[in-house]
Amino acid sequence: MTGDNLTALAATRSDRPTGERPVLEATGLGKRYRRAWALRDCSLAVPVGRVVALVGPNGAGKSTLLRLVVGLLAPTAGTVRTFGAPAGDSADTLAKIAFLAQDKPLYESFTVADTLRFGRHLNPGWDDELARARLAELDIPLRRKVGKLSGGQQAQVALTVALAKRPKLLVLDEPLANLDPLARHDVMRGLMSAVADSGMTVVLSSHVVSDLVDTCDWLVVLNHGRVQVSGDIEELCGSHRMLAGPADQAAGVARRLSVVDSSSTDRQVTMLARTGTGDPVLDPSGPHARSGWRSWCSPTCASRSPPRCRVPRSPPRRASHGVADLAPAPAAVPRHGRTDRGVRHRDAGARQPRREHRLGIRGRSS
Amino acid sequence: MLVHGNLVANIVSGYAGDPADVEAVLGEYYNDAYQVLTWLPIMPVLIGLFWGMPVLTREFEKQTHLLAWTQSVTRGRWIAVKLGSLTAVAALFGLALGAIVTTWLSTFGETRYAEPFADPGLFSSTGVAAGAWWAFGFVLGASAGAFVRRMLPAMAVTIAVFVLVMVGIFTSRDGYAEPARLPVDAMPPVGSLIAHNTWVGPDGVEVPAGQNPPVCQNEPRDTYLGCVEDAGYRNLLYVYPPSMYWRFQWTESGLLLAAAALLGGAAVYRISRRPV
Repeated sequence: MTGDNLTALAATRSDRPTGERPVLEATGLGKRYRRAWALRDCSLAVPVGRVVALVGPNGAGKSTLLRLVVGLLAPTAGTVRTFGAPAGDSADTLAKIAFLAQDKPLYESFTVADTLRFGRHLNPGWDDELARARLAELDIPLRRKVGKLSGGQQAQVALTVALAKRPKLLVLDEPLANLDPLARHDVMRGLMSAVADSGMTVVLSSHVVSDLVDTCDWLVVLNHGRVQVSGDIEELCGSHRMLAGPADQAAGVARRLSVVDSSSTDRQVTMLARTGTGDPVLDPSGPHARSGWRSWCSPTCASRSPPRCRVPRSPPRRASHGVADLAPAPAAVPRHGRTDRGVRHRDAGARQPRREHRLGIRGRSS
Repeated sequence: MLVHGNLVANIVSGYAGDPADVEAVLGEYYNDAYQVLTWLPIMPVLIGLFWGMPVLTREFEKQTHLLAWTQSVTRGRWIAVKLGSLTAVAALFGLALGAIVTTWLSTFGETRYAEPFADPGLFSSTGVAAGAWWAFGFVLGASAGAFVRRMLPAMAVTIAVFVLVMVGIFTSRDGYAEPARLPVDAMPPVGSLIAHNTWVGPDGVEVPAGQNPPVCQNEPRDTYLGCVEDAGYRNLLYVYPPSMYWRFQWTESGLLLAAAALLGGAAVYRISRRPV
């Protein structure tokens, strides 16, 4: 599927009278390296204050899109604008954006203090106090050479440089790649507390979706250089489900549903499909009814608890047909242990409290 | 150089014997040092390879350009400031080296050795030209890095271009000014650069440069010169007098700095335009 429906969904959202123009706006954006297109027909708009997850497999064009956003690359086709101005065109635009590149490049021969000096000299809005406080809290010695720090510490220094710039848009390319689980957690926690404090817009990419569970409220899915999905995660979760079934019937299902993504083994296929807001569209009378198809909310969605992913109001009737339709869902919710939280999210209503809660930093002073 | 120069100065001032002996001793001393000095003209390419080139290729290699170019300074300004200031430092180092070599040469006094004008290598390692060559080498290496990006290919490009420029400059020095014609059979003054030599016929007509006198065509090589002289032809030299040294130095520096400015400008343009 081309993602048209969902891009349209995203577009309608951003067209809502929010009073603010999108922080990030791409129109027909494309980038070609020599012959091959790394990104094509990419149109999306990200409203202010969102935490955007850009997901897709390796080689999907995530890095290309992010580099276009910060102005490191020039588009081959279309336009990309940040804060209403062409991306990365002027010192003024650059000052509003911070970028953390993949592998978190830093000058390894610099000490941490040198690195802060580098940031201070190159950024008018530099917040040295914030940088020093953050590094002190993380127990990162200022005199140590950056090259001698551990991978997790280097990531934290790089993130500190990005945050101390006090950007309005923070762009992170695979911020958690090459980090051990503990460091991943620390980096993500540090990032999210900074985000909650400042209200900046964040775009972060990953090919590991579980990294982004709980932290993001806007989803952009890229594959093969095209935008598959772009929109509010809760709305998307409401209209997409994971399907699994025999591989030889995959084509038949794909004809009836918009399949966003699929992966298969010899016998089994697992796909993410747009199923609409109604019940899962596996027609019980259809040819696939008896053949072991099941559907569930994607784990990401399950943790967010959109209505369909909570414990179903009535047990599935179709078990007798062999389609254990909603059966996995009840299991999924307790496994993630977020049923009650999700419900409270819903009740909280207003955007900001929900986010803070989701960031898991409710107890922190801001 | 300082030690060597002091030794030489002591010999020149302290030796009271036959001047020819002094010449011979100085010649030995000079040749010892010249073994080293003869490599000086390629110093600028080393500066380009090991100092100028990493300015950009190291950034690309370590990906730190992604960090540097997303701070609040535009890429054009970043590269212009970096290239400009470092080139100035390279030029200063070159000038210092030029001054050292010039001082060392001066200890030889008025001898046939140590002629920075006549020796193409020494010419480019003394005076202002030394600074210009270093600046050019640095900018060449740095801009090769801007265009080629990867270290090894950029090195190859730097060396190739440098060799071309060096050969080009060394062979085109004759064009910097009109040489002076010396009287027939006169020896060139110490410290001058010989442009070319030719013959004057018995009728006082000059044989055009690059041609042989229309006599002794079939004479064997070892008796040729004697034959030509017997036919009444006289040797004639065109030289650039020592006073032209500085004019040449400034001309060469101007050429090199203009080339460096072009290269540097191209590199700044390449970097500030986004990579494609």
